[in-house]
Amino acid sequence: MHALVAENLTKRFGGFTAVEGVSFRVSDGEIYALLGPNGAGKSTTIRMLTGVLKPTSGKALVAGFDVAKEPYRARERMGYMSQMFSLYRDLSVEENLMFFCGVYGSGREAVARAVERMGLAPYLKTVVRDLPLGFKQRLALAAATTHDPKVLFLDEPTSGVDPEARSEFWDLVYSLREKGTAVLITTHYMEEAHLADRIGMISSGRLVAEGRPDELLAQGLGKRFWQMRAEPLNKALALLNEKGIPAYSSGGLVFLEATDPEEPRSVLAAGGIEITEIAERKPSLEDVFVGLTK
Amino acid sequence: MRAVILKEIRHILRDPISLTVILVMPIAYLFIFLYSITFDIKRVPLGVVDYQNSSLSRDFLNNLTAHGCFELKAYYPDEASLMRDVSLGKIKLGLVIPQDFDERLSAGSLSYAGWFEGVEGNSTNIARGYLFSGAAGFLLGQAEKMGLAPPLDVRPRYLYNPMLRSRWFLAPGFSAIILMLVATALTALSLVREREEGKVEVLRTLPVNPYAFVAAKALPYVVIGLVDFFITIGMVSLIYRVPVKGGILSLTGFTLLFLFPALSLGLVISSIARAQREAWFLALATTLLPSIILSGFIFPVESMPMWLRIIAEAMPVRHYLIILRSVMIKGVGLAELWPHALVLGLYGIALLAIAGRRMRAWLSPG
Repeated sequence: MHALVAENLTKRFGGFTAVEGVSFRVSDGEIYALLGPNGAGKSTTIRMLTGVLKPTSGKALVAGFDVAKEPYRARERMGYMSQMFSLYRDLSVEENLMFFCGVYGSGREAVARAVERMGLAPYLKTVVRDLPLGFKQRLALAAATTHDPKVLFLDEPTSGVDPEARSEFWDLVYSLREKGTAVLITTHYMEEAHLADRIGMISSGRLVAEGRPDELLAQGLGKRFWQMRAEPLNKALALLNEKGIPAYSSGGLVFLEATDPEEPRSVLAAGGIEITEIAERKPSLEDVFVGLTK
Repeated sequence: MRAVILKEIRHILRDPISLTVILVMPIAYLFIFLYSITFDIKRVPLGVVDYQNSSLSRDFLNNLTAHGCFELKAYYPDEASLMRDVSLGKIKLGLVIPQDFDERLSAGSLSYAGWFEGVEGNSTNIARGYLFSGAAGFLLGQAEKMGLAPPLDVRPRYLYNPMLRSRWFLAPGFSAIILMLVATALTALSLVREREEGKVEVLRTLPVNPYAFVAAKALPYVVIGLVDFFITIGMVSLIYRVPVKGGILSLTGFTLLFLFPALSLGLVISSIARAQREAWFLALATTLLPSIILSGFIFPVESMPMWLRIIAEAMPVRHYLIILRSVMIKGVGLAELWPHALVLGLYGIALLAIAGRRMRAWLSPG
């Protein structure tokens, strides 16, 4: 049995389809990352899985329980760390944990356990408002896991935190995986998705690819990827995309896929843009992603 | 349930504004309100032109000022100088005693002219009443001295408020206003805050019944309502000496009943308002105005036009106020007051039903 099953989930808001026919399964002790840019439908998907939103069609099973039909059984077995902070800002770390332990019925000892596990002891009496962001995230994780859920949902949990806090956060997620918790995480950071066991790539509300990070990277094998400098950047991107060459920009550079570097050079030259610098590179998840969605 | 209640209590204790509203506001308002609002007129500045200037005319004036209602400020030589001070506002009541005051009095008739500034209608009315009854008293005394039968003999007895103190009548109303405002506004605010901070989304993933969650959040405000009730009633009875003839137990029971529609109204407001500011406005508009103007707190409902009376009678706070006054001052109980209690109960049920219907939308998955 899978800890989490998404079956053909579809959500329409009026005439707009936010998510269409998304299906995947997550096993016990597996970390599954939903990867995609903002607005791709990640949050809508996770909100249907947790029962916050009612799917237009399709269903979600948590530990075998249909989220829509047996909400309380499903909820007792899930933990949800939402993008919008689930914590009460005017209460202390301890008081927040006491609330969530009380609601999940996990008992008073669970507070001490969570504090220990997440390293929150120095901030026990601190009001959440005054907590450093990294610790807020840890507390939110602690609050979502006091009852040792079968499935843990993390909606963009590390947005805004520094790389060090992010890697500490992932250490905690790995320790939960050790205990057999299935984790569904949404992210738009490619490098974060690498840390998951499996990745589902989501674009415009559809699941476009799924697999282990190395499997997905292998989809880029046999293709050649380049990074180059060309000004103006936006015009260069527009020209390339117009000619069907998968390209995106990051940090002032243009990344693209082409079998021959002469291909983009001629496209850009026709638009009066000169490539000042070009080099071949190893494919990244982002390259694969862009190739799949273009 | 327990976790939600404890959490709510912590929120309240952590929030200086809630604490102020709960504890400081009733006490401060009660002091200010009750010292400023009174219908008992005191020390009305009196100016006199005494053309007679006899021992009888001075007796008459002493008699008038003896009860502290009027304070003799100055004598004037003529009407013109008196009028000047009335126009300046120094004098609110001018008396002119004619030259033949003594002569007329011995014929059994009291004659003088009273000029009121007459800007504040209500106080003028009351001052006029004092002036007439003072004059009547003086006249009766004179008749007795001369061995005549009194020309008029009315003996009023005031059954429940023998000294006719207006504070006895106003103070309970004040308790009702504070209670209504605190119970309704704080309940609404606490729920709107959860919604504003996006907590409803998290709530939908927790294994708690959303209605139980709302009930658990509202419950501490029942206790707070009772605390405020005890504070205000305590002050009203200790400082202003208003009796609680019907017993505090019976009064507490009625107050619990009143908190039911008051809290339910808070829930209805929380289901309408999207932001805390909106909740405040709605709570103020639905509690303060009706409870001050339409409850009979100050203005007698009986003298309102019919359409306004119907609205006033439809306000739960009106019925609570009748109950409060009756229990405190008259000492009656449920046997006499059950129709008002019934209205409060029905209101509670109706408002709760509306709140439940409206909340379904945001408590269940969208």
